[in-house]
Amino acid sequence: MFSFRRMALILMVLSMVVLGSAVAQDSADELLGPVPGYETWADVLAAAQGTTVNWHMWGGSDKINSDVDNDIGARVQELYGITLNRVPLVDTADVVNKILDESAAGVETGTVDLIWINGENFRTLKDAELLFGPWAEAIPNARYVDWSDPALAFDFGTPVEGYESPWGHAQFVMEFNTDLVGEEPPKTFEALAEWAAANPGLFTYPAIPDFTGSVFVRHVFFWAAGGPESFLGEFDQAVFDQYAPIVWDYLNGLEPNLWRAGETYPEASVLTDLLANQEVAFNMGYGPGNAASNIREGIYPESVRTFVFDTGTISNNNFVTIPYNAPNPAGAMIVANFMLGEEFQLKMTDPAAWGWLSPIPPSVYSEEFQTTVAAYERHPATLSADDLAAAALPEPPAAWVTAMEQGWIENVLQK
Amino acid sequence: MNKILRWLVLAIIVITALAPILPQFVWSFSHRWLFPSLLPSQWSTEPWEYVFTATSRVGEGFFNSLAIAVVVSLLSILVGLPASRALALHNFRGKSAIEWLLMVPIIVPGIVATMGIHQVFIRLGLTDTFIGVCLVHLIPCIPYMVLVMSSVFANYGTELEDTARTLGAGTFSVWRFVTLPGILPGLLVATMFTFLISWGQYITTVLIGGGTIITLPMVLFPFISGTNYPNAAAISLVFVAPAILVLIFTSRQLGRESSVMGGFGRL
Repeated sequence: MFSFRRMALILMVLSMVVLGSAVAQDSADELLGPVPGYETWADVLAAAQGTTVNWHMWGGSDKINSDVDNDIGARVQELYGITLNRVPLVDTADVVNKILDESAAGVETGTVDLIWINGENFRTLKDAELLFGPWAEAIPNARYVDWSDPALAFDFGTPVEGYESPWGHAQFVMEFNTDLVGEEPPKTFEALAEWAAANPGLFTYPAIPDFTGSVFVRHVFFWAAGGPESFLGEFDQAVFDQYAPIVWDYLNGLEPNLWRAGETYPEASVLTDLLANQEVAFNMGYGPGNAASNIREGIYPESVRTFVFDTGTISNNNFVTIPYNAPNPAGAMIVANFMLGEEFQLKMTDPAAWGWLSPIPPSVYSEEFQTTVAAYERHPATLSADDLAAAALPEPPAAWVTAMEQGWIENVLQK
Repeated sequence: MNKILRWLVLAIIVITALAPILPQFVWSFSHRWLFPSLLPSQWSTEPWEYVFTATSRVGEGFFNSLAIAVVVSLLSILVGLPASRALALHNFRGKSAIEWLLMVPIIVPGIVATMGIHQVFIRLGLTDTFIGVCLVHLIPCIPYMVLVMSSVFANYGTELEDTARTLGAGTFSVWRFVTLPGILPGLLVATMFTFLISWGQYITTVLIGGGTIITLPMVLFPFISGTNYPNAAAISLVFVAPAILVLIFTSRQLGRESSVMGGFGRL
């Protein structure tokens, strides 16, 4: 029989082995720059041991929920003794409002440690100076991030400046049902208009202010101007007025051939249903792997495939940020650091696991990482990372986006 | 003839109440259910398996929602019962102002009120706590408690209590044997209202609970805004289960004859 003392001894030895290995793995890791409140990475690790990190993130996908719990939550528990508390949100703006309220009331210690964020929500918090940091360029695994890449240094035109850390990459793709369209989809805007005219009622796009509808219209602007370059600087009314009429002409010409003759435009989630039910032939969105996972989950028919326009498609990054009053910034930084590490990025890019794109090229990781990634089997509905990367276009700054959205409402929706 | 009609009406009520839930039930066992198929082409127990994993947080949300709804109902009775009795049976200066103030939470959208309350609660240290969430749920609940109970008290009058007192009953005896039995059916209806209003709160819980308190709507609503209907259906069935149980329980109580309920309308 085991005595209590013997049990305790065994547990102690075991925990030393486990802790020892964790420390050994990270002993090489150092902070790459200053972080508010911490001298060394070892300080950060020590401060976070045994704590909880409250991660507020959109909670509408059981797959992402389970993946986060298993591939991030369980791992940071094992490696760093951190408990990850995933807080599901309907809309990230809810937590942004919470932080704004807390700052108005002067709350020094809030409850949010980490937020999955990008674009407008990031800009709101950064402009209001409600973020912890800068920290993202200083965490050890930031050595993998190429901060000179404009796609990582700017988030919808807002300079990142170390206030958020990238972890996943998104790129716009078109989804189509081969049963209705055939194997060759219309990959240019001219071909798309012709296809819609020949097959009225089978194409539509989500109504603005839906962000999927908004990004579709941005693509039409890029097409009208022969590329994204005109829209990447400061907002310029003259440039906007030069190309906008071409866009409105194109979209108004398309309208009678849209689903329900363009009398109404669906929401993005409804458009997913419409493709699932084969009422339309196309859907679109920021997830290149969404079609494959929707087929696996039984939402889409097997015949759905994806494509990108010959003129390219817009891509952006998913970031995590830490609010100014996070009770546990050390733990939050460790989670963000883990998400940039080789282990998680390998899991995230695995089509059989997460099936996401990485914001980091495989070449910066180890040989082993590169061979594994090269050997991944792609779902037939997912394009290759190379094909996607070759077509990737940047997001224009938020001021352009607002003008395009407003213009669409006035010139297309209300005409 | 009268009996047949009663059964017919009952059957229609039951069918219209339960029919919308039936597709949810089918959805919750489906893997692939595309238009225009009448039934799913592939069945699956995965949505239910997900409900019972720790990741889904459905269990945690269920018990938090239950605990909050029970506390809120009890607090509503505590606050609402004396208020509604005073409003129904007594006349005093400023009565209409108080009536109006009690109804304000129904008129003002919850989100507007909650934004302001959030600031106040932060200063009072009530945010991110269980009791803070209960208190914010109380705001939309009290008007319903007071509305229902003041009409009950208005019909009830005080004659029976006076009679009991002339026969020598003490304060407690009057309450226990006269008042309570008289208002019980109405009280059950009002409590059912408050329970269900608390049960369905989303934005107030998100703002005041700050993610520390996970309730069932917080787990369910993200799925409804997404496109995973099987999971949304399974969780929504867990969500409506207590509502149906509460309804069945209270309707049995309400089946009893009650003089007080006469004016309120038989339910």
